Amino acid sequence: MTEAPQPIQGGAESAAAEYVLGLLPASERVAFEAALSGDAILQQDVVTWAEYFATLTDPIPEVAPPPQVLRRIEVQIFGAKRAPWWRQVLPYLVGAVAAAGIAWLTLTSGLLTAPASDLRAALTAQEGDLVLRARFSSASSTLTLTPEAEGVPPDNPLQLWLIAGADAPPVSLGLLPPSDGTTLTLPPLLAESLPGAMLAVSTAPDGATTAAPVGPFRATGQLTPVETN
Amino acid sequence: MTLQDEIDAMIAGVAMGDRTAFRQLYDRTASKLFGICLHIADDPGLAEDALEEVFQTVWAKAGLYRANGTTPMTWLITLTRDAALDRRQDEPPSDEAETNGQSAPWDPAVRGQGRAEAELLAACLQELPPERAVMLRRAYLEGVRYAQLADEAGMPEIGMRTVMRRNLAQLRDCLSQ
Repeated sequence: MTEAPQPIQGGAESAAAEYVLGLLPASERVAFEAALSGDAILQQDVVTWAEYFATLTDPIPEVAPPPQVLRRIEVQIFGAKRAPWWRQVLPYLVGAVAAAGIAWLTLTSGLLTAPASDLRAALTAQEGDLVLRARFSSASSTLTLTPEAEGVPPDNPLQLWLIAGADAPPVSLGLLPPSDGTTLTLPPLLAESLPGAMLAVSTAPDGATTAAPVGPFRATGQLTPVETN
Repeated sequence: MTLQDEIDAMIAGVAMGDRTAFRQLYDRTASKLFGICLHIADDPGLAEDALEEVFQTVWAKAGLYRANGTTPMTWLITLTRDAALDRRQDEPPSDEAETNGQSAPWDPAVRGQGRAEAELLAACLQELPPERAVMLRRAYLEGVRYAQLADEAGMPEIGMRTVMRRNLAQLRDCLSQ
């Protein structure tokens, strides 16, 4: 069943409501999400609709779940064994928000080996000429990114991601402002997951970081050890 | 500290792998969220599955929720709604309409700061034709789509969408005042 190609009424505002309600047809949903990634006002619209529509659940009576539900959840997420020591001390080591990604990353990648050597990567685009050189210094735990070729377009900030393995979701490392180069200092636990990992950059809508990459990656590259003599 | 702040702090604790915070968050919100699961999935076993998925997601992604931009309770409710809708079995539409037009007391106790929004939305929904307000609730709470709404109303899907979009624009104007 095809829908009218043009917005019928209310334009993007109605589309945001339809999106939150799940009424947007699948074909338009993709286009809407693409538009959403670059439009802070539309993002705010979606958040506002989500807040309002969530109140539709207010009249639903509370029901205590059976006790076995919590037991099953805890077994699934904590496992039967005690937490590894680093999981217990982690809250005291690193900042709150960053810790989530790191703890999770470390948990899933199982990497706790210190990077013995410096690392480097060339992030190259599937198409176009975006090329970034990445270099990680283990001594200072800093990751430096330098654009090559045409460099990063000035009005187009990028967000840098770490992908620790095939099944690992990207973890945001931060924004790359349009400049000659950017140096990021990585917390130890994050630095430890670098060897063998992929680096990737996505377009950062409005220069703001997002929880998940928006759109396809602009460029990707694998970190490999720098040969030391 | 408001309830929203408390839940916010619990989620921050969960983000750091704090199991006590996780248990507190569960104790504080599970009944509300399980009620939603039961209402939407309409089956105790499926509702339990949905709730398990929600709290697994919370444990895995608590550190990311701020990027989502919503208040913590809305984040949890949205996760719950999506998980429960995924499990909801399609039912004959005739059973649905009766139960959803009814008015129930607005009791946003767990949502805390959401009270003003709940009252404003309720007031603005009253300005819509009553059957449209019901449709809108059913879209959110039952996952019905335009095709089904159009079918029930005996009108073409595109026509249903046109009027619904007009009503959504009207709703937005009312909420923005």
